[in-house]
This record gives sequence, C-alpha cells and structure tokens, in this order.
Amino acid sequence: MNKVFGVALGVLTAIGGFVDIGDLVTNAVVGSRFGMSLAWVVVVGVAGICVFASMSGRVTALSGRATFEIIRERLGPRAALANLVGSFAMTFLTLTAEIGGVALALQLLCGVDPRLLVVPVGLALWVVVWRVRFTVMENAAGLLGLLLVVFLVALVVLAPDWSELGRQAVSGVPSTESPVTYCYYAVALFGAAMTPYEVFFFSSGAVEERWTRRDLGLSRLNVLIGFPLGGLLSLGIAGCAAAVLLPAGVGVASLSQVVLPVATALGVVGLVVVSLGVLAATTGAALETALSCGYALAQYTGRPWGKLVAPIRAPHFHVTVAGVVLVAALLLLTGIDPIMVTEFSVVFSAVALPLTYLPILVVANDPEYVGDRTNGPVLNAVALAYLVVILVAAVAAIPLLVLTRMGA
Amino acid sequence: MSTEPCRRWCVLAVLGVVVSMVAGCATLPDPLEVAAGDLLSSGATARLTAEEHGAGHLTSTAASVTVDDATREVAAAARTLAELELTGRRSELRDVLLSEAVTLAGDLHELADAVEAGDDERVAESATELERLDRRLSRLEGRVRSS
Repeated sequence: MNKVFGVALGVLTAIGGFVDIGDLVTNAVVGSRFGMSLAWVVVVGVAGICVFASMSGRVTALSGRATFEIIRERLGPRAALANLVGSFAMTFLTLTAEIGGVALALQLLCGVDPRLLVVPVGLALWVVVWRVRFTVMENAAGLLGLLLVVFLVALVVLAPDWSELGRQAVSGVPSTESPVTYCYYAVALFGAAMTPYEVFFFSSGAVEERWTRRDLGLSRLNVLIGFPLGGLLSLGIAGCAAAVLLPAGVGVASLSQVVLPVATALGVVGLVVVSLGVLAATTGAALETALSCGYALAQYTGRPWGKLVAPIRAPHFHVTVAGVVLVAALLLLTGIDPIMVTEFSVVFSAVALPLTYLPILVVANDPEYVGDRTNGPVLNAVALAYLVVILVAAVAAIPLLVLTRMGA
Repeated sequence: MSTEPCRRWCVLAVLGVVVSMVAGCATLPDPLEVAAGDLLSSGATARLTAEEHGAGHLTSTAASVTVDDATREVAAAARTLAELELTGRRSELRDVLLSEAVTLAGDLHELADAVEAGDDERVAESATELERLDRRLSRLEGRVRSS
C-alpha cells in the first residue's frame, strides 16, 4: 500500500507540477498558433525532467537530505545563495501564476470575479498547508488533477484529421509564423516542461516521506510513470487547441479560451470536468510552489523544515510559506493578469534552468552523497547533452523575448 | 568535479536572470499589430462562444466569463489604438481598427445580454454578426501586418 502512495507522489508532481498553469497556457497558446509543430519540445522536456528528477530522487533517497541542503553544503554558501535567489524568484513567480490560475478556474465554475477570489484562495492554501496531512494533500490533488485526461478524451471526440496533426508535428515552422517566434515558443515550452520547482518539491517531498535506499525503485517508477503522463496531457491540450482554436483564428489570452475546445467536444459535462481538473492542477501546483519556497529558504539557512513538522518547531518554514502565499495574493490584487505572469514565468524559468540542473548533476556524481550509486557514463552523457540544451535555452530566452516582442 | 566552475556558473546565471528581467520588462511589442491581432482573436472567440452556447455546449456562466474576457481584450486593444493617436503613425489603419473595435465591443455587449437573458435567438443573431465582423477584422489584420 505504501508503494501505491509513493507512486501517487510521482503522479502529483506530474499532474499538479508538470501540468500546471504554465503548461495549460503555453500548450494552448502554442497549439492555437503552431498546431502540433512544437510537440517535439514537450517530448524533449519530459525526457529531460525524467533524467534530472530521477537523479534528484536518488540523491535524496541515498543521503536522506533534500537537494537544496546538499547544494549549499557542496557549493558553499555564496554560490548556493545565488542559486537560492534565482530559484526562489522563479518559484514565487510561478506561485503567483498558480494562485491566479486557481481563481480563474473558480471563475469558470461560479462566475465570481477572480480578484475577489485570490485572498480566499490564498487563505485556503495556507489552511491546507497548515492542517491537511501531506499524503492527503498530494493524493487529493493528484487524483483530481487526473480529470485533465478530459483533454485527451475531447481530442478523440473532436476526431481531428490525425494525419494533418502528424504532418504538423514533423513539418517544422508553419508558413504563417517566423522562425524566431517559433524558437521563442520552443524555449517557453521547454521552460514550462522543466520548471525548476518540480525537482525541489520532488526531493523535499521524498524527505518528508522518509525515502531510503529501498525506495530507489519506487522513485524511478514515480518519475517514469508520473512525468510522461503529464507530458501526454500537455500534448492533449496542444492537440485540442490545434484542432479547434487554430482553424477558428482564436489566439489564447485567457483560461476561458483554453477550455473552449473541451466544451466544443464534450459539452457542459466536459466543461465542468475540465474546469475541476484545471482547479485541481493549479491548486496542487500552488501548494507545491508555496511549499517549495519554504523548503528552499529553510534548507539554505539550515533551519527545521517540513510540512510534517509542527509550526512551533519549524516557525521560519511555516512563516515563509504563509508569507509567499500572502504576497502573491496581494500582487494579484493589483490587477496584474495571471496569464501574463504565467507567460513571463515560463520564459524566465528557462533562464534559471542551469541554476537547478547543473548542481544536481554535480551532486549525483559525488560518492560522499550517493555512495557507489553515482551516475554511470551513459546517464552522465545524456545529462551533459541536456545541460547543453538547457544552457542554449537559457542564453537564447531573453534575446528571443526581445526579438519577437514577447512572441507577438 | 570542482565546485569553482559551479560557483562561477551560478553567479553568472543569477546575473543573467537579473539582466534578463530588466531587458524583458523593457520589451514592448508593436502596438498596432498587437491591437489588430487581439481584435481578431476576440471576435473569433466571441463567435465560437456564441455558437457553442447556442448548441448547448457552454454553461451561461462559462459563456459570460469568456465574453467578459474577450470584452476586456477589446477594451485594451481600443485603449492602445486610442493612445496611438498621440504618435500619429499609420493613422488611417488606426482609425478603421478603432471603429471596428467599437463595433465589436457593441456586439460583445449584445452577446453578453443575450447569454444572460437566455435568449437563444439573439445569441444566434450575435453569432451571425460576429462572423461578418470576423471577416472584416481578418482583412484588416492582414493589411496591418503587411504595412
């Protein structure tokens, strides 16, 4: 039974972490403009997150310590501080986008203005972090997040011209778009797929669940089942947008447009299911990002941390989590568009990717932490190849943002 | 592996993030093209919404939210177009686009009323109106892109 719960962690990080507001919006935007021509980026991103998350899981299971603790110890306080600042900023930006996503999903269900919802949503998140057990939280968000499978069902019901979708997937840059814009969205999609907080949450969650060497197989299973499932859902979102929004000339700028294809295919029932799925996925990701902010700061400063640790024993951790949720909600109250925040967060995530993945590769090769289970030559070769891709994406992100005028 | 290169990378990466954020914030898209694209997309969204609501595929709440989102996008595009008068560039296209933005805003208002009232006949009329407007906006957007 414990193994089943362990796999649920992978499912949670796949649905609530992989498919979050960034994936929902970016895949829908890309599908509505480029069809399936950027599907390969999702595949590359999923494989990449599998490579590095499995490394991170191994490090945690063998050392009993979370990624950020080890990064500080291995790289020293100064380099780790740089890492902390970059990762924390990106995770906070993502948290803001997720809380906005929760409010937008609730608006689809009840019609209330999202600005009126962000404070209650923030409060509810804080209560969940404070009172709800870790396993209950992850299982509830994970199982409800699976409702997003409705995107795949809708795609089948829409019965698009599959050969046309296949042709798009291998055809490269569409004639209506420039190669530079194509590259910009490739980087954004890559950033959305490999969001850094996923790894921090994954490793910290493993510590919360007290993984040991015996859980290594389980860890791999979680990654290999959970993340590809998230990737498949991402492709479903892009496919739905390519089938309905692209021919209609709809450019995605709001969450209500993201769910339109499901309503077209499955009617009101589909609409309700997809809205609940989006609500679960964004809520799960909001919880993960809020906790990840607390994890990163507490692990860097060496203070007690963990959702399972009572607030009185880990006050800094719990205050950080409550504080970031509060600040994110206040930020959204200023009227900033959560979709705009999402678009920025995925691009800047791409910029920050090396901060997360390079240290993980270093630590996964250090026998002091992983004993005799250091990376093999094949895994190192794959990881280094990915680091090259990550560095190219990080370096190219901002010039592409400027050149394309944010993908306009 | 030595930690020194990692430290350098981390410092460089953080600097990169800071510079990126400044550069990113300074990035402004071409307002006329964006406004034209937003109007076209909003019109298409509204038409699709009207059709799906008419077919019973969308709840009134979801349809209202979608039309509200489209209305906000049109309002933002209209504001951009109005502000462009100050620069005086490509004024003829701007005037036509602004006029169509006003028409689209009216159509969206009509559609929102019809959805709220549950009047299927008016929703269908709105869909027809929006289809015509869509065609005009599509031509205009093409002209803006090629100008």
